[in-house]
Amino acid sequence: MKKLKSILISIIFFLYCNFVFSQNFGLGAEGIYNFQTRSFGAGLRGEIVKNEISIVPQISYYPTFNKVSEFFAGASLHINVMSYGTYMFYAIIHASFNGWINYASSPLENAHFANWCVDGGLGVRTSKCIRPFVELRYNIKWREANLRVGVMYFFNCRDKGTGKSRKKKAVSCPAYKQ
Amino acid sequence: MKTSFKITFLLFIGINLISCSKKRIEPKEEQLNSYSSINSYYDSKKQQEQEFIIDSTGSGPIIGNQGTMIWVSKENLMFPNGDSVQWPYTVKLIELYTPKDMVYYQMPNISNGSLLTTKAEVRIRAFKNGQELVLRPGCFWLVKVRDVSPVSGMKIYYGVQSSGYVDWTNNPAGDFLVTTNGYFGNIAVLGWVSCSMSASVSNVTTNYTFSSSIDDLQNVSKFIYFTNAKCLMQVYGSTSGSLPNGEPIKIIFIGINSSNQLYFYYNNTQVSNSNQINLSLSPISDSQLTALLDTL
Repeated sequence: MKKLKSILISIIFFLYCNFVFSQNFGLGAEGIYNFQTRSFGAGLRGEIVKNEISIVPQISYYPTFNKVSEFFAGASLHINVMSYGTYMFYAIIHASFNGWINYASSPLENAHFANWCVDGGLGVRTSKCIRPFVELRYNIKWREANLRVGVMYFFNCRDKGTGKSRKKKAVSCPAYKQ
Repeated sequence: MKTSFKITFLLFIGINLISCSKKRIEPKEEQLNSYSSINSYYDSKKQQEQEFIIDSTGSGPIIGNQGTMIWVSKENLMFPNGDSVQWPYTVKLIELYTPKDMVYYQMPNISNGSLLTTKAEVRIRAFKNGQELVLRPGCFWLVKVRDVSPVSGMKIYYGVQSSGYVDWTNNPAGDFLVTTNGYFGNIAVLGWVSCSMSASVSNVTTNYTFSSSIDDLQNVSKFIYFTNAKCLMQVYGSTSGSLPNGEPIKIIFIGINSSNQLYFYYNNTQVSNSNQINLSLSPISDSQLTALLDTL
C-alpha cells in the first residue's frame, strides 16, 4: 500500500505542476469496458500537449462487482496520426502499474497483486476545449482489449472559429466620429 | 500518413481479434492426451478362429489348439429354415482360456451385472455354403472344456449380444460335468459358450468412477480382473459395474495413440469405498504389456 500511495501522490503532484504551469493542459474522466474480463471501470486522466504529442498520466479502477477488480496507475504517450475535420486520430503507447485486487480468486496460475503492463492502441478525439474521446487499447501482458469513452477539458483554451460564423462589421469608435 | 494510419489500424484490430485471452477469468483448457481405437491392436493379438471341414462321420472329436473337444453331428444341425445339412460343412472355433485372451477379445465374464467365475469361453459355429447353421431344437453337441483342476458346479452359459457387448445367460439351463482334465457339457445353442458359475462374493457392492486430468479415456480399454473370483469385468464409459466390497482386483487400462505407442494403467488393489479413481496412463511396450496380461 505504501508503494501505491507514493505512486498516487507522484501523479497528483505531476498533474498539479502541469495545471499551474502549462498552457496546454487538460483534465478528464472516462468509462472503460474490458472485453475479455467483461469488466466495467472508470478512470481519471490529465493531458499535457506538446505539438503533435501528448503525455497523459492516468489512473483507472475496476470495482469489485466485476470478475476482475483492479486498478491501473500510469502514463500514456499520444501521438497524433491523422486529422479529419475537427477529429484527431492518435496512436497510444501506455505503461502502468497494475494492482490486481482479487487475483486470489482467478484460475490463472501464478497470479499476483503487483503487475506492470504495457498497452498499445488507437484513439480519436475532437480538437476543441472540451474533447470527447474514444480509445481502443490492447493490454499486451494480459492480452485483453478495452474500450474507453471519456471527455477532457483543457484549461486556458479558446475554441477557434468554425469558419462559418458571420464576419463582424468594422465599427468606428464614436469618440472619433465627427 | 493516411496509408500508414490505415495499416496501423488494421494491424491493431487484427491483434485484438486474434490474440485476446480470457485466462484471468476462465480456467485454462487442458489438452488431454488422446488415444485411438484399441481394436486393431487387439485383433493382432487375439486367438484366431480355427476352421474344420467336416466331410464324413470321422472317428473322433474336433480338438482345438487350446484343448477344446467337440463331438459334432450332422444330424443335429439344420439350416435356420429347418432344412437338413449335408457334408461337407465347416465348424469354426475360438477358444479363450486365459484372462489375457478374454481381454484381447473383449469378452468379459458378467451375467446380467453379476460376476461369473469362468474357466473358459469358446465360440462354436457351423457354416454351410456361407450360411450359419443352428442346432435342431432338443439336440446337442457334446463339448469338453479343458481344465487341469476342474471343480463341480460349473454351468453352461450362452453369450447373447446386448447393446454392443456379449452378456451371459444360462438359459437354456445346462451343466458342465467334471471329468478328467476338464468338463463335459451338452450345448444346445451354437455361438459363444462359457464354462462358468456364479462368483462367491460379497453382496455389498460399490461402483468405481474413473477420470483423468491428463488422458482422454474415451478410447481407452478398461478392465477389472477379480483375482479370487476369476472374473473379468469390462468398464464401458467412466463408471464400472457393481464391484463386491473387499474383493482383490487388478485394474488395467490399455490405450494406443496415433503413433501406435501403447499406454497402460495398472493397479493391484482391493475394492473399497474410495470409488473415485483419478489416473494417468504411462507408456508400455508390447512385450511388457503381454507379460503384464499374463499375470492376471
